[in-house]
Amino acid sequence: MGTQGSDGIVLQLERVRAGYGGRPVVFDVSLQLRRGSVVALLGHNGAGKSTTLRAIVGLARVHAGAVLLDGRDIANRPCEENIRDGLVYLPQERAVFGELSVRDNLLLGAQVVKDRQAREQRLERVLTLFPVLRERWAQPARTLSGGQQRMLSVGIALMAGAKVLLLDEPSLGLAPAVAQSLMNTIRELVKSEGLSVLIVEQNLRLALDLAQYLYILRMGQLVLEGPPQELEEQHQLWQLF
Amino acid sequence: MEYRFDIANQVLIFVVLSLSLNLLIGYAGQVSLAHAAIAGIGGYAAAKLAIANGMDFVPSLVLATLMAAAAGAFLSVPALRLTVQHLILLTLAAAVVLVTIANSTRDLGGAYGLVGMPVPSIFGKSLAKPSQFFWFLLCVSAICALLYWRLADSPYGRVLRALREDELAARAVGKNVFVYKVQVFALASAMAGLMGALWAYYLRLASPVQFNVTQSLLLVTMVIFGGMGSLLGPVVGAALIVVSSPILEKNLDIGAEKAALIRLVIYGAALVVLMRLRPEGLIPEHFSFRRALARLGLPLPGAGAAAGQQSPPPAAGAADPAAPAGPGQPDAGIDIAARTPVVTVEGLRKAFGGIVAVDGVDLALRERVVTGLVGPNGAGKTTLFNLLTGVIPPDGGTIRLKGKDITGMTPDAIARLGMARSFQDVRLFLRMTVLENVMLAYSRHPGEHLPLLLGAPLATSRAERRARELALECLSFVGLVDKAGMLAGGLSFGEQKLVAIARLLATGADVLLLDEPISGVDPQWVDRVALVIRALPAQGKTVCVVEHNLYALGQLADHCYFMESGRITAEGSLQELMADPRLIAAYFGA
Amino acid sequence: MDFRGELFPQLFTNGVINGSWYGVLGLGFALILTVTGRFHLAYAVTYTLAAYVAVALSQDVGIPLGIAFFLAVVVASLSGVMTEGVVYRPLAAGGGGLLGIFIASLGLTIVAENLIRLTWGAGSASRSLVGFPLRPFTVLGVTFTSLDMAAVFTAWFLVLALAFFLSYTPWGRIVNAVRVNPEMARVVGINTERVHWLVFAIGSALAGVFAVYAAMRFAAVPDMGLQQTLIAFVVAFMALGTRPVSVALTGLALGLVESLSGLFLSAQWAPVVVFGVLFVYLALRPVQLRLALRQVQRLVTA
Repeated sequence: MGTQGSDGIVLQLERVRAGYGGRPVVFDVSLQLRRGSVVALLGHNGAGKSTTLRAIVGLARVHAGAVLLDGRDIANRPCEENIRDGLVYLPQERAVFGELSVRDNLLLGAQVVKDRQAREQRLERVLTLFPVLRERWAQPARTLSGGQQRMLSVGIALMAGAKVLLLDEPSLGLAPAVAQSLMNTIRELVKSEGLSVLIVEQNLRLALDLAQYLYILRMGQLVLEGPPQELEEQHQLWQLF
Repeated sequence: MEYRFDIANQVLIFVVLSLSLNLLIGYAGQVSLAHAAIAGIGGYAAAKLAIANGMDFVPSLVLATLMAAAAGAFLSVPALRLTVQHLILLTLAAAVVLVTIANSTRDLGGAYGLVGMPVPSIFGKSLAKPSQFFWFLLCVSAICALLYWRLADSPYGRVLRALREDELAARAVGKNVFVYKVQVFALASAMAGLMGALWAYYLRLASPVQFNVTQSLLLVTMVIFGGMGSLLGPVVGAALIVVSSPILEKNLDIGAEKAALIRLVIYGAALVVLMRLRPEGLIPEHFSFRRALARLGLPLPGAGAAAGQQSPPPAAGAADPAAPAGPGQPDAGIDIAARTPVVTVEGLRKAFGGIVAVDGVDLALRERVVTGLVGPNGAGKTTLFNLLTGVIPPDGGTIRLKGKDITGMTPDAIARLGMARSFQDVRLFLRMTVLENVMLAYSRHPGEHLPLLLGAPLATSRAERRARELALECLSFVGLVDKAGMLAGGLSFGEQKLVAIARLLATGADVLLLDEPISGVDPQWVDRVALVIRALPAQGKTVCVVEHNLYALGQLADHCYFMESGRITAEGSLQELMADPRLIAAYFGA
Repeated sequence: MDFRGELFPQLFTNGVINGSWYGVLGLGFALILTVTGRFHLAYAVTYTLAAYVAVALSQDVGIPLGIAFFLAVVVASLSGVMTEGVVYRPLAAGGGGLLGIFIASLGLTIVAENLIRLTWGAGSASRSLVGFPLRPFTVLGVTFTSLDMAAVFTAWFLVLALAFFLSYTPWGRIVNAVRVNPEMARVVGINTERVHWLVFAIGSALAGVFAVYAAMRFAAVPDMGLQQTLIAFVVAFMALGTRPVSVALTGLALGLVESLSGLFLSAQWAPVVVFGVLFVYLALRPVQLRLALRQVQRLVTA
């Protein structure tokens, strides 16, 4: 990991083997995420990207290896404990409660936050960041546009007090312009809120623009890593997918 | 002595009832809570015909059987497209309706039922006493059991189990799901109706309590207790449950009524515990007495065959991909355009609502060529596959297979004409052996058709031998002969993908559509799967592959079509396509 | 026909009484089904158990009726929670699918029904709960009792209370979250297991309340639970939505259809009507019919 120092690392995977039931899908994956940075995990469909994210938060089983959050091994810890430590995963596509109102969605995000005042403050912050959510306050989430739903799920994560955000293909199904603006929003959030983001993205262009470091996964194994410019210059990226 | 015969008679009736229910639940996977009610149709029909019309014993039995069969077939039609819980609900509703009708119709005797049936007699011999009835019942039961055995332990039963495991996959290997479901409902109901009629004659009474929902639940209990889908399980389940009542009565010195209640408590509790500890029942589906005896260290009955069974003959001459000539690279010098197109697609269109998923696609799959289909997510590749194999009907355009227009045909018909597909998520029949999975794909098996299975046993067993040889050949092609006897569910994902290819080969189809054959496969299996696919053209197969793993696709495909937004926008080798910056941008996002 | 026309007000009233009843039972069943996904046939156990506990406490032990009522509901609630904890969850964790859970549930029902028969004697297991100040009323030729009034009032009170709970309280929001998107619920840190407990407790309590009413109105009989559970199935599966009020209204409609069929058929045929409706509904492909009914609903409410 030449370009990354060992200090300031929030999340680290060490030779993680993970999957569902007894069947591993991801083999010996090691990666690092530094505080306040965006790292992208790329690869073909079925390469094991989502499984990696789900294994980190405890939704898939880690068979071997370590998942370190701030240096502490959290492998196979229940999801809710990870959220208390600010580690939040947003699943592909269905990352909102479709039939519930925007308000309920946001309040559910703050599920683990017991302090009422902290909750109110965060809500105010989220509504300032995403004014459109204030407009749609009482509407069911499924009536929102695709882009607005993604903002709502990011809002849910912020309500939960996310410090490390794991995003699973946020641009999936969005029009190019909408996807682009979502990425801009994420970039701003990283700056303003000090978030660290590990993003799985199928849109290579968006990922190359957003991330400071890339990992490429093929058939469950890491095949390449490095900063985007370097990878683009030295490799024909399509051959890695 | 008569007391023992009485118990024996009850056992026989319940054994046959639960055997027939096992055809439905254990084999075809259709959970019915109306089985006792269907038996009731037989019972009431026989009683009514005998009492009101004075019909003789045997003709009334025949008519009762036919009526129950008709009722079963009628019930199967709405059951065709229901999920398990809806089917449970539907059969429950049917049972309640039937019992209520019996309970509230004066002509059917209301809650007391139809009483005063004549003493049954056959060839002038009265069957009044339990011992007299027993021999006749034993004969009928034996015939039913033989029929059951012939249906269950045969190619026909294998298809039923495939339906239970995965309907869509069964259709993909050419099985007509509709016909099988109606048949099995009718057959199981016929057997139930016959037993219902015999029971009515035996008690000289047809009453609602004999055939109510509780009885149906008891039958389900017997089947599950013994072991769903196992040949002998229901016999054991039914016999144990029926016999335990008199045993309890004798040993605990309690009344018959109390013994019956205690028995039910025991079996109810046993059901809960069984689900936890041994959900497959007392005698599981793949139970083998030989193996069990061998495990106990007892001498094997019959010839001293190996305990493992099914030791397959050595690979029969097929290409062994483990040692092929050129390791997994497309032949460089192959002239694509010179090959005859086997499948031609013109102007194919499909829209879902306002979204055009496939928009005027033209393409050709050429003989003995591996054609790749590449494109970004949502380009319409899966829809195109589904259109080609008839899973969804197109809005326009034509698909020709070897010159024949197959547009709008059903998946099983297309499979029988020689174009078959695999699935992204494999869809093997997990609770069947690897060998059975592949044998199922053997087309035109007489043993899978009811009249031929029963009428042409020799042709059936010949075909079964051929199917077995073919299946082993296909398995040796993918290098998995040694796993033939294992359950498919016990294989690794990579092995499952290989079995899926073997299954596809066994259909005899010469056009094979592979949906993501590599994705999700453990790294150590990828090369093996790729080698097998590369070896297909040499077997005369025309192959089309959708694969997101470009690295693997580059090794597989001779020729690729690039698909974006429902259209084919480029073709050539993968190298050529990916040299185009515009296509790169379209694939990876711009 | 005239003589039948006169029956209408009485049958309508009976339909409202039974229908309110069905609505609450359907609601309890639907809540469990939609939130936990369990096909909970052993709902029947809870129901029967509550009725017999009330009878035993009130008649055999001599506890005042009100307290016996309350304790019976608590026992009902606990029995549901226990079923989930001791039977369903271990089964689901061991890979038992829908069918496995259904079968275990069936086993439990058989055990409970026959244990009761054994305890109270097979023939005379029917026990009626007395002590409620039963008073008949006749209004405009329609007869009903104080018990019927209490039951209808309780039913709608419970429906509205549950509706309020689900819509306006934090716990209600959590229950909805698990129902709508269980994975996302886990993602935001909801302990879905705990929500399952809660839902089983509430759903079973609803069954308990009406089981005690049934013991007072008719009698506690060993197979009372199964009949009512079948009706709860029907209501839960046919309900147009998951909102408590729409489930309750589906129950009401079913009660009315059943009762008003008495205008044309004798009362014994009522189950044929109820389950005939279900049969036709299922036979006509659930999804399509449901969509069609939604359209109608939209037209009516628009």
